[in-house]
Amino acid sequence: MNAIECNNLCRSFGRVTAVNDLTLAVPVGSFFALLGPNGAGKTTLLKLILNLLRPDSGSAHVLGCDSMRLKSKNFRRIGYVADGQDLPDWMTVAQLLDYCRPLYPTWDEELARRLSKMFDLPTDRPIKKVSRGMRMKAALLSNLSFRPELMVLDEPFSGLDPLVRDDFIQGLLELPDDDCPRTFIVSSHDIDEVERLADDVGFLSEGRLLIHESADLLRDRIRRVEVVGKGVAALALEAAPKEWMEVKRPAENVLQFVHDAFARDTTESKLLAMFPGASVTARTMSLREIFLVIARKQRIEKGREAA
Amino acid sequence: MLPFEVLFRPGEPVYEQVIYAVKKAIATGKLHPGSRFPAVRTLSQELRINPNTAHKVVSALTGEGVLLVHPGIGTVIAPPVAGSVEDRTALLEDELERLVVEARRLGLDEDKIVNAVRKHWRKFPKIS
Amino acid sequence: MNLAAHILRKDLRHSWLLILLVVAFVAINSLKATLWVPVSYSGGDFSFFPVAKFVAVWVLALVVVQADLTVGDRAFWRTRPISPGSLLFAKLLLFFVVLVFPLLVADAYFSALLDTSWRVALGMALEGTGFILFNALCAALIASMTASLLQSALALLGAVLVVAIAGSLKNEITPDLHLALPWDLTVQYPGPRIFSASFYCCLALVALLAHQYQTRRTIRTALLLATAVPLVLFAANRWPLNLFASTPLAAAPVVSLPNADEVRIELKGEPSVWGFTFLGNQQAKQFFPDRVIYGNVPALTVKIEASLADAPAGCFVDLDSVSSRLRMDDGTEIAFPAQSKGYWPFWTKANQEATVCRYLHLGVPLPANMAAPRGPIRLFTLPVATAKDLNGKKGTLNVTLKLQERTFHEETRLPARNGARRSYQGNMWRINSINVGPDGATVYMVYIRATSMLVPEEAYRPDTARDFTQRGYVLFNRKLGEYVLGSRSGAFGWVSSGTLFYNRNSFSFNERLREGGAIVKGAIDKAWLKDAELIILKSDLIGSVTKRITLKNIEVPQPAENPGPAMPEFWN
Repeated sequence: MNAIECNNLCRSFGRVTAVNDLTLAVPVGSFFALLGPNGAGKTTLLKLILNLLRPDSGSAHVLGCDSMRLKSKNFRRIGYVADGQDLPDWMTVAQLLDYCRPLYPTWDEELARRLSKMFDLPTDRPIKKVSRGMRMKAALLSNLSFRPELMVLDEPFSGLDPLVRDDFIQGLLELPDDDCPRTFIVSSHDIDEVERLADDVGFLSEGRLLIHESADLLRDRIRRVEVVGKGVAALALEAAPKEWMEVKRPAENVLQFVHDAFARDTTESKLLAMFPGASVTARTMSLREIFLVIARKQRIEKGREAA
Repeated sequence: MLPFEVLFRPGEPVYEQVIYAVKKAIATGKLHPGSRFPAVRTLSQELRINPNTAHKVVSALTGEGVLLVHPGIGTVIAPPVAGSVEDRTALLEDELERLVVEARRLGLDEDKIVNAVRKHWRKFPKIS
Repeated sequence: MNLAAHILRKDLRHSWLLILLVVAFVAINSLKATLWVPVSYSGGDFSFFPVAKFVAVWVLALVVVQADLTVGDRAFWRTRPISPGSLLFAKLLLFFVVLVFPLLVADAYFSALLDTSWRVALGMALEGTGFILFNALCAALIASMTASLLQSALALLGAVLVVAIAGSLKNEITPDLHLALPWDLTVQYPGPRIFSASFYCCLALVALLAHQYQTRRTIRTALLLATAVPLVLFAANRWPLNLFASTPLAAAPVVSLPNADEVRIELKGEPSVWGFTFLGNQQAKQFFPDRVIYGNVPALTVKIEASLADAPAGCFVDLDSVSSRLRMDDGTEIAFPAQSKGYWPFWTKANQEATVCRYLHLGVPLPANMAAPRGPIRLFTLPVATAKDLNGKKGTLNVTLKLQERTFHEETRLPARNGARRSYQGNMWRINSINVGPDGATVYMVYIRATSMLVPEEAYRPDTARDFTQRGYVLFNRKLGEYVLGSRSGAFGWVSSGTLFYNRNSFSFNERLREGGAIVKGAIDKAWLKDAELIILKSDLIGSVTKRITLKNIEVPQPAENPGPAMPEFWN
């Protein structure tokens, strides 16, 4: 069962295509990290899913409901935190919670109080007079307290200091419990925070979904490889296989590249066959490093297209 | 608070790192056989990892026999593996072979490896 | 429903200061009518408080609606279980609580204060609250289609521009169709039409708001708005909601008295220049059809002396209007349209005294014939240049005089002291103060009348025209058997504040008279006033007469080198 399903979603703003024929499925109970550079279309995609924007074509389904037919009662199960969303900032945190509480039958007051203390939120100052980090935490608090089945976060960490980020993640992790699977979708151009949390990763660039797979599998198949040996010098860099990215030869017999399709059992032996007698080391990369390699590759390809 | 710590290195699968850390903690005596193992939820919150991942950790450790699930009590550290020395050594066959292969590939001779093993061995407290 | 109440509470808490301001302005505007506040003579109260009230209502509606934006994708409620229907209902509920309810209370208060009938009270309530609600809903619609107060202000400016252009286009295409506004006192009661228009407007506005809230397709809403405007106007005209209409809005039938011919008017002497004035360029157009006129044209007024013979006993004859046509021997013809008030009231002091004595039961018999009054009648006004052009030429002047026969009855009376008040049938008189001086007493009064366009009866129309000549004011001290006739002092005006019409005026009372007209020595003092009442007489039209008089072989009088005397003030 999918918490979110997108089918050929398209949305443009004038001449700019923000989301380009995007198909995506986020299973219930998973944590999905939506990565991509600024302007890739992450915010637009999330707004399309929650019916804040209407698609030009295609469809999306949220918790089984067509996004264009989302009714107010559907939002009893959906939480949304985004920097670009207005809060009634004349209210204090306490007043905000008072305003939200009757809207949700699943409101957990004990959780709200616990999170409020954990976030160290001031209860009597209006939200507009409070720091940005506090503001985001207040928004998160007003969403977590009703234990949503689906939690949508759009760039929640940008501009927040590490302590606030940790508070945020701690708050998010308060949510899952045994009786109901919770789904998270977090968009970020800052990957470190979600590295440990993501089950699945999607990489968005210029409205297209370039990568969509499990984080573990991604880290498994994309590895940094170094081959040291005499046969390395003979290889023409342009003739390198297409799975190799950022191929470099820093020294005559040292070859470095990023492998796109690394397999634990077979790739090493294949390389040894290509370069007999060489030593092959392959190390895993963090999501941030993988992200950088993909982004750079995109940039090069875009340059080639333009030329 | 967790009775063991995990040093996360980016790139390696999270659950593998946690599993290794648990095994290390048992080896160093930080975790005693029979003692309670934290719940999936606690693992997730303390380590800041996805609860699915925490679940995977517990499943894997239970599958390997490192943890035991007692109905009514919870998850506990399993007692040391029973069986003869030969049987237990056989469990390490794969790891030992891999160590030797890597050592030879790196051009290290037997003495160097044995010394290295000894060095690491001494880091841990005596087996009681 | 609960959700709407929840949102309402939030909005009340957020905008409490603005709400207080609005309620304060509504209250002040309502109280203004009963306070002694300066009133502009030209009518139409554009002083601070009414304007402030409308500005406050608009700002409130804009702020309240934009607290939860229906435009864009940033609004808080969009990802919360808040339905657009409940949201809109909450805003409408706020309008009811903050605007409609206090106005209903104010109207109920005034209805009681002015002793109005329930029909007038209901009419007042519907008109007053309906108009305010119409304003609030317009503001709400604009607010729901824009994303900030600045955008709303710009949209409003644009709308005003569109309405202005449409208005001038309408004047070009259908100049006869007159759309009156609720405060337009000069137009004969369009009552039900206005109410129907605002009723249909409010319905249309609520429908448009519902569409905007549910679909948030602003462009579609704008298109629907464009189609709604002519639809509403058509519906209001085609199906007017005649709530109370029992009688059609016809003018009172004109009664011709059988003895019309007995009212004889004799014109004496030749037409002469009475005074100098100016004609506006609209009025001067007929004299200079080929020229474009800017500004005002100097003109002179021509009068003729006249006297009235044999006015019937018990009533007096008043001149309603004069129209004339001048035919020169060389063929030039000028038609002068009817001008009202020939400034010749056939109501001499003696007649006045006799009538008053009669009504006060002072036992003075009326004379068989009222003394024949005489005075000037204003014939016509024409530009000085035209008069000079006609110098030396002779012609015939056909004059049509419309005369009215009127009699007096007592409207009400109240004790002659500060703060005295009398209400009846939607009218209220109040004496604000009586100043006693060496020359006599000056009484400062306020008159308030409840009007409702929905109840088109004579009694509930705003009573503006010629009030000063159709009422008589008498101070009567029954203990001493003395009376004093009032004369107007100072220039004050009338104002209509929505459904309440009020004017203030003051009269000075000098000469003490006894029955028979004997003058009593001594000025009015506080002791005299203690036993006195102020009696207000009102004149009734009992018939009208049209007299046509032809003056042959006359010349157009020429202005002297120096301008003549200024127009005299008319007698009260």
